[in-house]
Amino acid sequence: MIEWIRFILTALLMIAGLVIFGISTLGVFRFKYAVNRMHAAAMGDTLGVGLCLVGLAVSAPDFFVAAKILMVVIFFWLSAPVSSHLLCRLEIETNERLHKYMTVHEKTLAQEREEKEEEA
Amino acid sequence: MREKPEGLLKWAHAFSAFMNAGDERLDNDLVFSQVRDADQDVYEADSYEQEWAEHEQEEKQEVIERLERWRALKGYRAARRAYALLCVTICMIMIVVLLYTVGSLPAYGDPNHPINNEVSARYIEKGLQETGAVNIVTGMILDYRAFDTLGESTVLFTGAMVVLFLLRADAQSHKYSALAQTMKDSPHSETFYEPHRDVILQKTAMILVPVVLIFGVYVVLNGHLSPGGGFSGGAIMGAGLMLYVTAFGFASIRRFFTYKTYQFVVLIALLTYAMSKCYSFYTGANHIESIIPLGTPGAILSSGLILVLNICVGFVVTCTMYAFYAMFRKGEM
Repeated sequence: MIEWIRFILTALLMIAGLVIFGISTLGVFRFKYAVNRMHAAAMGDTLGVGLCLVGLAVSAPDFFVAAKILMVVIFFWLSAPVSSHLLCRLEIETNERLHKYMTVHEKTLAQEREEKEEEA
Repeated sequence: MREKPEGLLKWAHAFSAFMNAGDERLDNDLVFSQVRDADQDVYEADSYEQEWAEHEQEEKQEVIERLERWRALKGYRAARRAYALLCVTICMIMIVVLLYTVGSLPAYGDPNHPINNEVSARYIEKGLQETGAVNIVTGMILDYRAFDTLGESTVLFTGAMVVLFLLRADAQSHKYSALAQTMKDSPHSETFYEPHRDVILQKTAMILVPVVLIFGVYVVLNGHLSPGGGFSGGAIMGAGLMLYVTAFGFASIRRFFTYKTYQFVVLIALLTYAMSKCYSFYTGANHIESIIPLGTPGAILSSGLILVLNICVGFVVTCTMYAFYAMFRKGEM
């Protein structure tokens, strides 16, 4: 009985993760603007990977394998948003036609750097 | 030659005119002018010049220029062609020799050749007993084929050295460092948009860097027990160092990892590797019992020299990965 519950849970989580991956791939190709596309890709990197790996962890034979898989999930959730943040920041800094796509309230990198240097 | 300048002059004139037809447009060639400037001193120092002064000035000038132009243009061209020809010849000889050697090797998958029956069977059957490593792959690459792995580590080291030669651009070694500094601060440079004390990145790196480094150490030290070893663990530790640099900048990492550290660590690691393998080759070739115990298979301090060699390879790979990253990103360490 418990084996069946684990199997069904794993299958559901894996299918959900794969659906998320599919949506994110579709978004990467359908969206026109870089930041939108990055949003779609980051969704696959965090939610899709998270669901798939949690599914694997549920079906893992012993506790340590599951713990390792959950460590991988934590690593992905720490690293993927940060890399997305850096890429997005670079896009905002370097795209000269940004105002056509969105409103930006952030300070530019140059202004921020000047402020930091004033502080230091 | 000195007794008959006229003969030489005529010969040189005819020869250069023959060799040089249609090359007038290259008068302002940079190479040509440099060569002429360098050779002017030689001509002035020579007494030959004074003999030539009796002759008509314009003609002399023209002939000299043509001769030198020939040497500067056609001569260089000929040298370049000879160089290319030599390259092709040497490459062809190497190809022929190597193909000949390949032809005398046994056929791929030949069941009667030792590499396909005896060697692999011996690795699998006696690998654990002879090397003490539970992980057969590590036992092969760091015991049976340790010489090959030393070559691989040296290749990594050489690659890092070459990248250093080509890309190093710090204040001591590079004459364009002032220019590089100006370029770095300008908004048109690539480094301007690098993460500059980014808070999100720094906080994440504070969590991730220690974990990544410890995981790398684990992979290196467990190389003889589980999948892993010096190369993969070194790559993980190098990635940790790169993350640290990206988050906190080169000023921070220089507190514990400088160019001197790099040199020291890589040198010591390669020397340790070479010395320990010298010892085991010596004892193995002379059928002497090695004093290094193999230990209990499965324990962390087992399998003789493999642990030491894994640590050495891990250090070399870590330093090389980081050196590549630092060189390509900034040109210094």
